[in-house]
Amino acid sequence: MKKTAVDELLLVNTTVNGRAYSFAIEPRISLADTLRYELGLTGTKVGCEHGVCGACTVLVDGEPMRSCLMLGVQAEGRTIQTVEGLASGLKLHPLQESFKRHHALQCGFCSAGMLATALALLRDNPTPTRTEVREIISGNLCRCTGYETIVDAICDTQVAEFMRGEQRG
Amino acid sequence: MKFPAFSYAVPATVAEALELLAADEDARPLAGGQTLLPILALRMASPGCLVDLSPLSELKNIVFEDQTLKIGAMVTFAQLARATAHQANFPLIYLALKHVAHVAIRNRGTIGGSLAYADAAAEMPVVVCALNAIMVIAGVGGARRVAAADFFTGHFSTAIERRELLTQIEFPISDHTWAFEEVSRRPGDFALVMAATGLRMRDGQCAEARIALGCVADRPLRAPAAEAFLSGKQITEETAAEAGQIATSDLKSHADIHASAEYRRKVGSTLIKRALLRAAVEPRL
Repeated sequence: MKKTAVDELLLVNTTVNGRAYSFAIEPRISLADTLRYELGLTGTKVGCEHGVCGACTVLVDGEPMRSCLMLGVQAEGRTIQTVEGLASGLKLHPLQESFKRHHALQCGFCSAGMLATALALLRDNPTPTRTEVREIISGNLCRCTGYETIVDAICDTQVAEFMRGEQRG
Repeated sequence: MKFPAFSYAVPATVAEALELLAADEDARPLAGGQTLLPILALRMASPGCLVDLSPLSELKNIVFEDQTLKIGAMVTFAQLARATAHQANFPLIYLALKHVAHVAIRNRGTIGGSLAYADAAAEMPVVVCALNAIMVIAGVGGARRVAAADFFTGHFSTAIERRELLTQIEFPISDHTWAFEEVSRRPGDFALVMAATGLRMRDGQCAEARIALGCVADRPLRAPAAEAFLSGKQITEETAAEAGQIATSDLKSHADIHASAEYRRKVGSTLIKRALLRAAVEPRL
């Protein structure tokens, strides 16, 4: 059993975007703020801070989760992927390219969360129907209301081809 | 808002978790955090200590034995949805799961957390009422078992006492056919109204009906008068509609920004009718 006092820092070892990190934080700090302030990964956006908007969605051990509804200390031993981990160097991920091609982002605030949610869907099902896509992103709000182009981008055939290749690979 | 400050404890066993809860009046268990952490962020509560149950693998099992499905309190909705082996025996759980929250919430939210918070707009409270499930509640002095009918005591209130922990939910197998209906603004949003119905038919007539309603009161409700009405009757458009009327005529529903009390009553009545007609044509096990 381990117990820390209020304001006491707790050591956390975690892997984010393939890189190992070790840092000490207060238990009250959310994973979203840990990513942004402790690790400088500001691609993850914080919108409502209580689990409604989906902007802060990241992949934890491959599954989409709200980083505002997780404590930073709960990242211990986990593998996290944020939007910064999608591109290979300067080469964007095909889903990011598709978002660009379909104008699926306006202000961009929801994009990181949309990408994380969509990637997990496409990994299991590279060719979802538009209805399935709408259902899966129903937990991610776009304040520019640009949903149609976001659905277009996720249903893109080039993305489907790439994700099928990933499944086989 | 940012979470208020709290001390943080990570027990290695349920026994340790109970000790931590017993030692500190101001300690609260943290399950998946999908209800408690928003509560902290909204400053609806500021517990002094969070006891993080996430390492407790003993609470993450799904076991079918003695004709009973035993689900550990820390089983996530995503884990439960993947355990499809139980779908044939417990269809209602899986029908309702399709309506539970959004994918990111389902990946962390737990069945125990949802029941322990007893949000009137959550699906699992309705499911345990319809299936006559038993909640196993552990305390330092041992465990006690509470029937779903006695578990919910009001808005966000249950029979779990301070220092106790919901550890397991037991669903007895039933040979009813089931249906679940819900109205919400978007898929995955909290329900505005929901209904679960189960039918056991004999020679074309209803031998036993179960009707449970959610989000029409401060707790999930069974509709005993409507269930009794259906006994011995065929399930038709007329009898199903009548059952819906009986179940909702005396309801003192709440009104909020999303729906008026009248709307909730009317939709509740319609959802019961739809669910009964659907359950009536479901193939029996």
